[in-house]
Amino acid sequence: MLSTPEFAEWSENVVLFLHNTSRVHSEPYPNLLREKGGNGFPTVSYLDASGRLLKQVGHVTPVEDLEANRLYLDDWRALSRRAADSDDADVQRKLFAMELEMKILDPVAARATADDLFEGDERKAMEQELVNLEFLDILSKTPRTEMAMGGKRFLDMFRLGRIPTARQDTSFWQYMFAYAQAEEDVDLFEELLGFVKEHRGGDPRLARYLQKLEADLAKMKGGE
Amino acid sequence: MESPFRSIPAVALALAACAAAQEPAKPIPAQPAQPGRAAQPAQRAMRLSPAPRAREKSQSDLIKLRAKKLSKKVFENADWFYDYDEARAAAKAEDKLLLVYFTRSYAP
Repeated sequence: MLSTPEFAEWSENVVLFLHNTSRVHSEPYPNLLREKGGNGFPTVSYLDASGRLLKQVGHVTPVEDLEANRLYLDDWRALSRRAADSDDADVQRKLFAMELEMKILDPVAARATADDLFEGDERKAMEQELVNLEFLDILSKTPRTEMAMGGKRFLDMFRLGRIPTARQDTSFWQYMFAYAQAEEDVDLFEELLGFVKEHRGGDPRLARYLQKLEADLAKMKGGE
Repeated sequence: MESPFRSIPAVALALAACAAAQEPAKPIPAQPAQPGRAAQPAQRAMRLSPAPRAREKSQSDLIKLRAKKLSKKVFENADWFYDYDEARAAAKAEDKLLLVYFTRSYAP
């Protein structure tokens, strides 16, 4: 797609930036992909001029899809400008809803703003999105080599009943199990395993994973 | 309560990832910045040690791979920035969004 005349023509609407991870020592911004929430190649993302991630398209998509995303983000920019110039609560609510959908809000601030702007069923309806936002924020800031650290933070969410349903939600459980193992907390590991078994224990596709967890638990108990 | 697992293939992948975790890219010390759009020419390094194992590439090899990647014909089709700072400055000046294509040259 990148080599098509359509793409060349469309690209006049944006500024194209090619970031190549080379592992050459002199390369600036070597971790930019991870900092912008990506974890594979290729990844296509929209940023604003300050480098703020606005939308991760993911893979290379047709020009029409790139344009649809661009127009969506242009709507966001226009709404942002209106909100900056106005105290209109309706405009603020629309902007918040859009930014929540884009997942570009700070989770703590977003929860406070949601409490200020919305109430009743409207507020309840966005709770899961706020949970997913919090989860993805922690996940993006937790290297895979620090799963136990992330698991500790996810445990705080779990205790509050905040269970994510985002695309990468398996990491939520994986990291908590890692934390329980790192802390040698048999009770916690068993509690988490019990929760997972209760909610998805009947799924045969999870059988192998649950067996591994059972084996891990047995090993932990064996060490008591 | 909604089930915690939405994607079973993802669980299998997560399990596999546990078993063979890919090492994340390590922070690399800052060096003088690269020119905005020109790819660096490959540099021949004197090999004083035995040839590296297939999985480990020398800086010289990585530089060659980078040059090869950045010289691909596909990137001649449109006007790409290769420098993040310059790209952001252009986006600000032109009031445009940045479309970033993340790729890699150290491996296929």
